[in-house]
Amino acid sequence: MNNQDYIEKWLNDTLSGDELALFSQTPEFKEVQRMDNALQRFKPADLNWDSSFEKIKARKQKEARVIALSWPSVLRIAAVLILGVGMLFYFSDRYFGQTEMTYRTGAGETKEFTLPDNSVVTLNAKSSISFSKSEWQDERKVTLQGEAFFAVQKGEQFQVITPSGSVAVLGTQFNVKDRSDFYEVVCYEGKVQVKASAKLVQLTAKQYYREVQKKVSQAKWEVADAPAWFKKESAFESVPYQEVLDELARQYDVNLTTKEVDVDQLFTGRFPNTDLTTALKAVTIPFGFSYQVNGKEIRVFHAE
Amino acid sequence: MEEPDHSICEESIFRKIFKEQSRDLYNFLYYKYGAGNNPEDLMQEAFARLWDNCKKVTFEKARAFLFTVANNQMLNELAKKKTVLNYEKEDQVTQTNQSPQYLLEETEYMNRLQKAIEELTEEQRVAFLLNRVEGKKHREIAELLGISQKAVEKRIYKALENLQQKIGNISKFG
Repeated sequence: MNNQDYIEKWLNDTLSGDELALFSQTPEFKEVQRMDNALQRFKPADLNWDSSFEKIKARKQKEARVIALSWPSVLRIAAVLILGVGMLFYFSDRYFGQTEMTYRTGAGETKEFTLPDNSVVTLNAKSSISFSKSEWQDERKVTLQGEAFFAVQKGEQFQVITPSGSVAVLGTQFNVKDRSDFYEVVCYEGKVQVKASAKLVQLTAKQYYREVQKKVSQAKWEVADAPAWFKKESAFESVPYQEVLDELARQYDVNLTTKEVDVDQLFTGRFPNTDLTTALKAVTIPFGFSYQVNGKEIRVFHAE
Repeated sequence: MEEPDHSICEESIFRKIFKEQSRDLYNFLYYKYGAGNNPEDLMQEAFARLWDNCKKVTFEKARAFLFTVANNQMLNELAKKKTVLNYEKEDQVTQTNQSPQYLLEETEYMNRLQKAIEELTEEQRVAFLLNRVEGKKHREIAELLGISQKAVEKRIYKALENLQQKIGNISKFG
């Protein structure tokens, strides 16, 4: 019997007395034993089960009261119908997500939306935001894909969830950008809390948090009071070239390919979101690159 | 023909189900999604849904219903928070008069273990922790997850292998 068999049997609790005696002499045994002991400390803390039960009951009670009333049979039938229709709405909402609101922008588009609490969100190109209307009262929470600027009304915690992290604020102005391998939160006013890569970071006005290909940086932001894209520009400070090109592609709805171009090098600068030729020049000339436009296909390459 | 069983709508019966199932359900959600994704709320939601559907679900099916609901709840969410599992900082077993060297090493071991567990796949983590921490039998876990016992064994073994790989080299020094 080899080590693997021993460990498998040990896990299954099927080692015989002799086998266990043999196995317990090995360093592997010490290792798994140590881990097993350490694992016990991961048991979740006990809950207050009674209060948990009361909360469940509270959700149920509203309905129970309606059913308990005794009405003439006609009314009863009507009540059943109303209840049925209500349930239909209730469940269709739950299952088909009709209270789930989604706003979207296409390439090169920015749009402003007002949330139920009058907070304002502005979406940059090719982005979407969704939230639950019905749960908004309990929790101000939105899910974002792409990039958006938020002006949040003061109140309970407001959360922005993206694949790379979550941002929590009470009331403030900030920008969140989560594109492939690029996550950035910029605080323009007030305070925001960013949770990403298991870290919790506080940002105050004019600070940003950035994660590029899992590398974290955090610094003062030196520009403006609002994101550059509010002024139909895209601005970058030490951002990998690939993300700059991706942004250009999103703003102009084009496909960008590169040849012999180091896409990891850092770019600092800006390009307009309204003039493709100028934009292409802005991102290629500083590095001495050239480009070739063929309809929606654009190739950036290293000129001799 | 059997009459459908309406009994779980009774509060006393429902409370009994809650008593019997809530801890398992909570542990399951905790190990699956971590402390940061509000496992208590997810647990309550599953029970509330069970109560909403109490006329359609028999006493015997209640457990399966709860776990199915709990298992599906978060699947709709586009983005969930990273799984975080906390451990008790005070070790109940070892004595306190240990050398600083030992304590330091122990803390590092725990941190590595924590990270390694958090990095397991959801499937491996749930099966592994239910078995090692909660002492659940493979058969029970299989039933709970709706998979074969063989699959459970495989997940647990794979999880252990992963953990050993990730924290293994530290104990070599110890």
